[in-house]
Amino acid sequence: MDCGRIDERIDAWLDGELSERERREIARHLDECARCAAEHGALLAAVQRLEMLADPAAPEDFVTSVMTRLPERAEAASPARVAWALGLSGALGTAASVVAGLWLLTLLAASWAGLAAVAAALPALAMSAAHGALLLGEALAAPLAWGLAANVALLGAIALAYRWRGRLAQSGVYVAA
Amino acid sequence: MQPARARSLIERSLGGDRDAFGALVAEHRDRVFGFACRMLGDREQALDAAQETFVKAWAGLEGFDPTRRFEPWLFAIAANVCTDMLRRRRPALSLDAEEAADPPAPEADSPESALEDQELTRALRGLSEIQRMTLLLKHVRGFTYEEIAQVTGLPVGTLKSHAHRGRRRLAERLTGSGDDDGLRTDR
Repeated sequence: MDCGRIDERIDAWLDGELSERERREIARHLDECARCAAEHGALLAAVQRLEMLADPAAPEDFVTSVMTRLPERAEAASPARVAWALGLSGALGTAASVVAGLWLLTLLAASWAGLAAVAAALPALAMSAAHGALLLGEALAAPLAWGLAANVALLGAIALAYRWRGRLAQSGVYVAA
Repeated sequence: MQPARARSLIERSLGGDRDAFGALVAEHRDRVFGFACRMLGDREQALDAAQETFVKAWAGLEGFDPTRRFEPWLFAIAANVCTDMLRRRRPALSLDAEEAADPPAPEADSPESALEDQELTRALRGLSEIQRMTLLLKHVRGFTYEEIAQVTGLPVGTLKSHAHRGRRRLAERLTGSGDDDGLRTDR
C-alpha cells in the first residue's frame, strides 16, 4: 500500500469501515513509513483519546429533579385508549349490522321459508352480538378482523335466505309479506 | 433493535409508568449529561440541557419508533436542546468569552487523566458545533453515520466531511499546531 492510498483510506479506517486485511496493511505501512506515521499519528492519537473519553457523572439528585419536572402524560394519546376506542368503534359497527340484519330478516319471517332463513342466520347474529360484547368488555386488539368475519357470515346468510325465497315463490309455497 | 429491558421500560413509560421512565433516565443520564457538557462547555448549562432533554423525551415518547435504537432518538433531542442553548447564548457572549468558558469537570481516575480530559475538552471547543457533535457521537458514543444522520438531520456524506475536517482540526489543536481562531460554525 502506498502513501497516497493511506491518505485516501485513513478516514475509512477511523470510521471502522475497512476489512481486517486493509486495516493490517495500513498499520504495517504506518510502522514502516516515517512520513505517514508523522502525518497521521496525531490524527490517530486524537481519535483514540476521544474514544477513551469518560462521561462525567450527573449529580446524585438528577433523576429526582427530572421526575419533578415531568408533566402528566396526555391520556388521549395513550395506546390503551387508542385500543379501547378501536374496540368501541368495532362493537358499534357490529351492533349496527345486527340491527340491520334483524330488520331484513323480519321481512322474510312472514312464512315458513322466512323463518327457516332466520334460523339459518341466527349463528351469524349470535357471533356478531358476542363479538360486540367482547370488544366492549376487553377492547380486543384486532376488532376489525373479528367484525369483518362476523358481518360477512351474516350477509352470506341473508343472501342465501333471499335465494331460497325466490325458489319457494316459484314453487308456490312462499307468499311474500 | 432494542434490548428487551429497554423495550419494556419504554412500553411501560408510554403507558404512563413514571418509575419505568425514571429507570430510563438513570440509565442514560451520564451519557446525555456528558454529551451536553462537551457541547456546551458549561456544567450548569449542561445540567439544564440534560434535564430538559429527558422532559422532552417524556412528552414526545409516542413519536419514538420502537423498531429503532432508543439512544439516537434521545440524542436527537439532546442535540436540539444544546443547539438551541448555543444559539441563545451566542449574542450574549463573544466568541473569545465562549472559548474561555470553564470546561466541565469529568470524573477522572487521576489528576493526570483529569488534565488530559480538560485538554481534550478545550480542544473540542475549538471545533465548529457540527464537527464537535459529529465527533462526539461517532467516537465517544459509537453511533453509526446513519444514526448521526438521524440525530442531526444531515446526509451521511456531509457528516463524513465534517468528521474528516473535525478530526484534523482536533489533532492540530491537541498538538498545538492549529491556529487559534476560536469557535467556527459551518453548519
